[in-house]
Amino acid sequence: MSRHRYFKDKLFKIMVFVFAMAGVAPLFAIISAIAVNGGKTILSVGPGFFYGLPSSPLSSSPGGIGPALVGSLILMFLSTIIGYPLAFMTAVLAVEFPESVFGRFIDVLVKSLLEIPTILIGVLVYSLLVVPTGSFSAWAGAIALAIVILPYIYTHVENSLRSIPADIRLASYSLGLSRAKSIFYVFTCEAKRGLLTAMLIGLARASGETAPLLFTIGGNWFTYFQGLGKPIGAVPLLIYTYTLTPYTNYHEAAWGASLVLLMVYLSLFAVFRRFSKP
Amino acid sequence: MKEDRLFFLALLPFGAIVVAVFIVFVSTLLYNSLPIFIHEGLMVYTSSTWRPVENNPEAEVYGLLAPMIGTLEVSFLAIIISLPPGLSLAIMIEEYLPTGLKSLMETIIEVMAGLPTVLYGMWASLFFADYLKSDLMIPLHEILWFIPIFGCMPESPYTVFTAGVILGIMIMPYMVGLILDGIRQIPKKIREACYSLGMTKYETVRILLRLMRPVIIASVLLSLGRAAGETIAVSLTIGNTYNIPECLFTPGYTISSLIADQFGNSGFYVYMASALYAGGLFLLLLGVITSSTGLYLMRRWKTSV
Amino acid sequence: MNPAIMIEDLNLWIKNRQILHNISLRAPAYKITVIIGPSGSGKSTLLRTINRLIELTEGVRYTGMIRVLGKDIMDWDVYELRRTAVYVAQTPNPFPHMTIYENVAIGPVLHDIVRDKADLDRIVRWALEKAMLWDEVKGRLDEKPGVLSGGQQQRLCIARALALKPQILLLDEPTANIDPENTHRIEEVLKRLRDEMTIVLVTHNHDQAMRLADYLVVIRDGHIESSVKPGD
Repeated sequence: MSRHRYFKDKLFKIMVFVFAMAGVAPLFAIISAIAVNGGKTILSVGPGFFYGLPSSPLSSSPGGIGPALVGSLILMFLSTIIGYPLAFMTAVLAVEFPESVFGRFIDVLVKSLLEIPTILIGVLVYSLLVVPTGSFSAWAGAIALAIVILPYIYTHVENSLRSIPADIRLASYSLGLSRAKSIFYVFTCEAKRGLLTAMLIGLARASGETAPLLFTIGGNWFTYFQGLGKPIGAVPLLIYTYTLTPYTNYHEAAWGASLVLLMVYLSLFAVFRRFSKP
Repeated sequence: MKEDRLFFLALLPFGAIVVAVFIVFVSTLLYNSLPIFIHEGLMVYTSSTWRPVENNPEAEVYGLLAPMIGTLEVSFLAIIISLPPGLSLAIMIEEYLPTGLKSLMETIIEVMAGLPTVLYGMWASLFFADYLKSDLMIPLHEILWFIPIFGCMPESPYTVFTAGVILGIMIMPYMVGLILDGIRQIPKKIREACYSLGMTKYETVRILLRLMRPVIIASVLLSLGRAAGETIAVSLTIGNTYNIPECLFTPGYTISSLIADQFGNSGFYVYMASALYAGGLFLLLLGVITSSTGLYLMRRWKTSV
Repeated sequence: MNPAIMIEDLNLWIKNRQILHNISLRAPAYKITVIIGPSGSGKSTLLRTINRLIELTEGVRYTGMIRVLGKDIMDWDVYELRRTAVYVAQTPNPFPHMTIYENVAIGPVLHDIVRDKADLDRIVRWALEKAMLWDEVKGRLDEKPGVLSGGQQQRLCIARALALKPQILLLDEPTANIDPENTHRIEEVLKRLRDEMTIVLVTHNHDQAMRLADYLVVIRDGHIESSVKPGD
């Protein structure tokens, strides 16, 4: 083989690898920056960072993010309670009744929810829920989040149900089990793992989304949970809001909160991975 | 079979809820956009004046042209930034890496894809933007000042360029996933044919790439749609200033960052909120066009392979 | 004596291709009827039509009459029908994520024919004993079927079917992929079950047919070639 071809082959391989590494480098840059700066903040404030209240803008201390942390947990929980059953039932509808027009229509509809910018979802929930009730609320945030995470949960459940082998389905029907019984007793058992990881996907998404919360939850940083109809805080929104301020101590708090969010995300991801491998 | 019928009917309400949410959303969007269309007609999409006036609704003028151009500029820049690494990653994963490394890389990409966007944004805003300005934007300006898009001196680190770069970093994993999905549809026998004819890996990949051109186009389109809708990271890096960005190194707006930034203000004015909803309508349309074209191209290509 | 299964003039099409032509067949009660024929002759399809499992396939159309236990299959509640005439597939298909116990138990539980846990335990044990599997699994009922060999899994599937106390057992080449030792076992199981239920078995193995059949039906290309009582 000519030197020319050999050279081009090698050059191409190097180029591909260089570009590829350039592509993933930012991940490591981000993780290390957050670890370093966030670590600094948390170490300087101590454990009070996790349960304390924010400090005033020009003070030297970053303050705590307690209410936002609790708020995030509540929102994650609420939005999954709303979103998961909805996603599960519609996935069952789409997978087990593919002959029906409605079943196929729903499939297309849910998947196209993915294309709607999340800021729009937040703004629309604002117009439909916040305006009439006159107040930002945890409800509004949870519903906006539920709509955003719905298609992700749906897709995962759908894939899990579809991957049940045909002969298992046949076995269930051979025993004279109806579709309903087959789905709720046999198929869910067989697809157990997929159904659980779908919930993790929903939680992970709900923990990190910011735009749906911008105009729905109001960003309550100073008091802990006051009720579902009242404003509430959340970690991603805190990071966003604090980053936009010009105050250094708030920026430090943002790094600390980012480290918390990063840890939550990576843990959920790790658990998800653990459960996905057979 | 009656039990099956009942079951189907019992599932319908859930599907109906989803349909209802959809319908309510689209109609609310249209309904809330109506006032600005009555007030300005289609000028809202063609004018670049943004004049909020208190207590005098007639004098309010809102033109979305500048943020629309901003959206397109930022999204295209993101594609240009993300395509070479994205394509390279897909090729590297599928054609070069052994199984162990392959799944490691795929995991890394998955982590990147799901990483909360606010983390990308805050890292860029508090950390990366400054480096971007001093190490990339200023040199680019000094060397290529004669090209209009690089023609202005970067003052603040928060510019259209910054937002485009961050957006590019963010959508790259999404693009990799799409391209990988396409590469994997190519039957093994094509590669086997190439290698048995004694071709090098480079020559084989070139053939695969030519075969995959529709996939790449579709992936670009779908990523474009995704990029246009991104709000948080853009809003933290673009500078949120109203002007038509002729040069990339100035601050600007995209439609989504405009909404994020100005929606809170809109209560003081009569027509501003409606103008923002009209912007949302533009985003939705853009998303629908790019994703349906992209999906169509993907599907057509998959059946042809 | 009334036949357990009576088929008259059955013609069946799948997506406009005719699979079964003018099938007429009688399966006497408490006997083993063997349907034998080469691959592709429509044996599986015939079996699945009897308990209306074929309706799960798309594009199926048929004419003719099928009576199970004297009643037209269209008059039966389809789930009752499938419980009464249980189909066992060729390749063992136990539910992989349920335990051995749960595999056998799920049928009776979901059809609500169990009084209490003790009753269920009894049924599971009885079914496994009938399938000649009890001694091999009695210590590991809470393990997954994956630990069992192919032949054992097939017997598990038979036990799963038996737990429903069916009156008819429809077996689709039950020993096609099974080693000789287990094949012998399974044939033993079937011979003993004959006293309690009607068995219809499909095979392409002539020796097996000779060993088991009280009645033999030969099928080829969707047509019945002959039906005899061996020993005539």
